[in-house]
Amino acid sequence: MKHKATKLWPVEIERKGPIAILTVHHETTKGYIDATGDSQLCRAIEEIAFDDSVRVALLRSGRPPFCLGIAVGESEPWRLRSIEALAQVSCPVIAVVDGAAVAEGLELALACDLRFASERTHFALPQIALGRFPRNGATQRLPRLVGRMRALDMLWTGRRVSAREALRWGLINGIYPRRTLSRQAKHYAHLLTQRAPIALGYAKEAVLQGLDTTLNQGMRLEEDLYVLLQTTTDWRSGVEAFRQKTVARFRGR
Amino acid sequence: MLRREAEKLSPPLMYEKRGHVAVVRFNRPEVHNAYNMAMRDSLYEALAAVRDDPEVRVAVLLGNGPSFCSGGDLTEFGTAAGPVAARAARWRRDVAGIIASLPKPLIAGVHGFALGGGLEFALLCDLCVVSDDAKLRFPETGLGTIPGVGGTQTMARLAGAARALEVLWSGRWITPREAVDWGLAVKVVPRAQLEKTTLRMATHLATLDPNLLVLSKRAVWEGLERALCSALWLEHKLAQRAGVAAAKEDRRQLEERAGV
Repeated sequence: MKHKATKLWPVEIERKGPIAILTVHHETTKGYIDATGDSQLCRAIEEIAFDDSVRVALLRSGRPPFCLGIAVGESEPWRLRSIEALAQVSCPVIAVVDGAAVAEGLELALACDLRFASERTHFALPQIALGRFPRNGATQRLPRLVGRMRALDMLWTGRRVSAREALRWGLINGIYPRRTLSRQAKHYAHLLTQRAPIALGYAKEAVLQGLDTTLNQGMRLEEDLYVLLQTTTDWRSGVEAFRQKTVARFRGR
Repeated sequence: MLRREAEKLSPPLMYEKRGHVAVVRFNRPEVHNAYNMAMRDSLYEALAAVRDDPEVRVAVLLGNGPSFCSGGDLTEFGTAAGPVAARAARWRRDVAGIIASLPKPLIAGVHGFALGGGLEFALLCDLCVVSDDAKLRFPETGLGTIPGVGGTQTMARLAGAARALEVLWSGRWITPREAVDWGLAVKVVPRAQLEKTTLRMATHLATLDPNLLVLSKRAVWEGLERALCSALWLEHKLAQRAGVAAAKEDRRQLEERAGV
């Protein structure tokens, strides 16, 4: 299945079995995101969010940069609906970042669960240096990921952070040569499709919701989800396969 | 404690006191210390002993044989009378809860396999030392489940959401080097030195003022649960309490010397 949206800022959804690959073609806006692009991306994300057959989603750009954010001087930056839509996706969402992820572009990548990047990628938050205030999660998601000092350093200086540095900080999960980046990301996604989809979603819920509460409450949430999983057929076939030393085929039930 | 005869000869857990240090050892070496119900009950009791014994100031968690702990014993999976019973049993013997609320320092020394629940025990400890042969991973999503001993919480708090999810989802091996770089362990040592290093660390902590250990542990664990301004207030209160205790101790020693 393959379909393309309008010519202006087309967002393409490609399906490889249970993997959905969202590719943003932002050539006409020179790597920036505009209102049309935002609403198209939002629609594409909502489409996969409500499609149970999607087990893993990848978000990438057709060519570098990944995304440069909202063009300076276009208008006062708005809250991107596409970034809010990402919060609704319960399956793993992975940003495949080749080239710069800047300003709202980085905020978009931060709203994904994992980030794999190419060596030539860099990250920056130039908003404050340009007299704007980031409003798409950078002041919240970034310090939770890399600590407040690194976050403030990026926010105040607007400096470029290399992929190497980002990997050391935990801002990205992996770094690959640009030629193999896409393949590596798909390989990781494929690995996840072999595992129980409900468990993947619950692990995400336990981690993200758990970080927003006390350890004790987080552990209770984890336990409740853990027990709930024992009612699934996937759990039974997983344990059974382990005993028989075979590979379980999970169906998401 | 109910134990079969075989378990009396070879208990699933060993507990030993060396001065002020309690040493707890998983002891099912033939199955890489797979964690079963008998072990859970013994661990719960051992941890309660650590908590309640005033002589114990620091505890160490180790594994006998080739591994630290290979996680939940899968031969016992699905033996509970359904999820409701499983959930009730978990809270009746809340091992993760007793570790998380233990007031004294707990140090894990991890070698060989630390899988699933085994890794989760290590992550619940205050400090963890890993040997260079340690093999760590979360196999759960490949079994249709998620971690159930706090792994989704401790992993995310120590290493951040992204690193946590990457390994929870894929179930890939985490190298000892990564464990240190991510803050899951404090150091990597050669296999032959693991036990010695872990025990030396514990013995050193046991020479410190036990009251300060307890108060500082509480400040960090409880402080992380609060907004910063409230956590700083907590630190202030705990520091006052430490000061009062120290002053009392000074007076006691003065009086002792004066022969009062």
